[in-house]
Amino acid sequence: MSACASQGMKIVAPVRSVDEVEMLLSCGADELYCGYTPEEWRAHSAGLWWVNRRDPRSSDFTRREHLLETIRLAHEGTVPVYVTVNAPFYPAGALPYLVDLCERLIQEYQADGLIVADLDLILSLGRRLGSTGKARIHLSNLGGCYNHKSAEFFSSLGLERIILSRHMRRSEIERLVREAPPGIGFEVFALNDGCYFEEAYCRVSHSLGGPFCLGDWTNLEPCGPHAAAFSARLERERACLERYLWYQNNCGSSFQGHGLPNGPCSLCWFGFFRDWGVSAVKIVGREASFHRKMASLQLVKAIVDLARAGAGHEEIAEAARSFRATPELCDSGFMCYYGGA
Amino acid sequence: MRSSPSRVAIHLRTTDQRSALSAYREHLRDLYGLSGAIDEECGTWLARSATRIYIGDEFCPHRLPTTAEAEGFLDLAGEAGAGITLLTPFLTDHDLEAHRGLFELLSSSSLPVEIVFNDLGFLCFMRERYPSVPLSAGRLLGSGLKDPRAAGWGAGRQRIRDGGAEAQALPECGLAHGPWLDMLKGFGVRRVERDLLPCEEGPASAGSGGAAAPAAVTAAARAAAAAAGLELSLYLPYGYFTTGRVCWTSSFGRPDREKFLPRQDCARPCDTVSFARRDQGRGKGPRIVHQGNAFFYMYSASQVVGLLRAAAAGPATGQGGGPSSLRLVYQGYAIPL
Repeated sequence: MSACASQGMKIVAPVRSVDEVEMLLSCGADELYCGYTPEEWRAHSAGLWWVNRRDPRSSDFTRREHLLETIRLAHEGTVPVYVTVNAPFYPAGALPYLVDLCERLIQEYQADGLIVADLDLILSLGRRLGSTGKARIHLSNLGGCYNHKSAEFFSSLGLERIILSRHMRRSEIERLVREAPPGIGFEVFALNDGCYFEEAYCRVSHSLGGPFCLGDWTNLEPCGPHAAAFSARLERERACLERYLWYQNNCGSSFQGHGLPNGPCSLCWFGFFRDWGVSAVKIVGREASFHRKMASLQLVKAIVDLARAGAGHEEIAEAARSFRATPELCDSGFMCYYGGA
Repeated sequence: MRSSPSRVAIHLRTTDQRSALSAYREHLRDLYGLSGAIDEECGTWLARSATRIYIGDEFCPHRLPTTAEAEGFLDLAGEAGAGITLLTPFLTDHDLEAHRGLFELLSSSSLPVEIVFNDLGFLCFMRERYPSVPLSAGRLLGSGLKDPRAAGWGAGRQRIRDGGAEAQALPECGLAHGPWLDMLKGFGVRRVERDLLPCEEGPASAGSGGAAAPAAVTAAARAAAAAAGLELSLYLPYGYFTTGRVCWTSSFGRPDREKFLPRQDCARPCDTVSFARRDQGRGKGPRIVHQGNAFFYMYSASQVVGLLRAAAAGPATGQGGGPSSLRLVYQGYAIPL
């Protein structure tokens, strides 16, 4: 069991505006995470690439004073703030700048840690910040950890937490958490924003016209010896895939009747996560509206509270379905993170 | 166990494909209709028979060979005087356990066997359990912009070719990154593998000058690997750009609730079907191919010629002045169209 288990599962919530901090803290966020893209990044990216996985125009702080105020307010509430620097790849020439930026975030802006994916950046940060003891680094799900040997490797680099992929079977999570070295924690996705591909190995850029997976699937031509058999089923299977992608895309960014957000979640499994020693559950969506963030946090907090109170697995799952109040969506099986035992 | 100075490797799915070891040249020519260019510039080099067989898969654990299948490949390699390279994907703890017999079999072979890892945990696992097996860092671990949409990048494309600001800011493959290469050397890794990136394209004109950019890129990558004391492998004719544990191909015919989950077992329908995007490769960027859970862009003819030209140019100088061989890994048989 993870060393963090005794502290209970923390709720990790997204923030992109100073105005959201009070709401997030009062609704029960235990940790905040954000993105930060300063103006000077353009000089290292030609305005083409992002500091993290999300579009800075809709998801990041871009002004230093706003980030500083957010960190100050969060710290007043004894809530730590982590900054995402988790683009899947960077121009090689940008690495020194990014290391400087990360050092500034930790040393000067007093961010509590970084969420990083790129191995070069992790290794470089280890060299620069490792000796200070101040840099808490979490491995983004874009970093790719699927087995306990990987967890050992990242732990040996000084990382404190690993954010797991959205596409793991529950038994795989249980085993990974159980066999991982002591001292490293695990975070899982709780709510919002699915992803069809494996982000750790997806080498497309959302900055080039949006997610590739949400593009056109209508122009496919089966090839090979069994092409004819697949052609006969193609339209039905393509329709099914597009339906799945709609669910993964937050059911068309819709809300249910009580104002709670629709979209992928793992709420039913929170009892298992608690028992296995998962450290934290993440709410996705830095770019989401104030209302969506608040409703998402309230929903996750209600289920985490049940888990913290010792509720059983079935009780938690029933409560999750009841709160979501969208049995027709849940029953599709397309809206679950960590499906499959 | 010994290393092999292979120059051409062929990725096979079954031992029935043994004729590919000498017939890949015609296969490649047919695929591109490039007989003139290839014969004139690279004919001598292409006449070599493949000296290494790639088996397994970089994307899906269900496509790793059984021990019986691997024994068949070892027999084939022995008869052909070739080495064996096992491709492996990212692996869960269950996968590491389930394929232990395969790793045992290959590690005890007297043939020149190597294993390509695409998972850092698997790298640690291999170093711990089978420290004498030569390891190569797979192309899934290399960073770099592989989005096929970058190949048809409108106005920015010409500036990239011309070496403008965007070119300087292009995410490069991992060979440009010192910390990553240092770490590989620390683990005793001997080889790195990569693709040509979609933006590593020559001018649009398809004459001999069209191969200039890929040839230069290949030469630069080769030099970077050599400087780091590593050998280099380059894949053709496909570059991978994304993958996932959810596999649409394997979802065909399954109940809806079971379609989009990581598979515990699979009948491997991808052995007999792949998908091409019809509007691709006809003036709208590279042709895109899906096979199983992996997505590829197909190199342009000028990229292939450039790659072959660079391969024919002879070895780069490695650490200590020794030669650093370039291996081309042909996947035309593993991903049929």
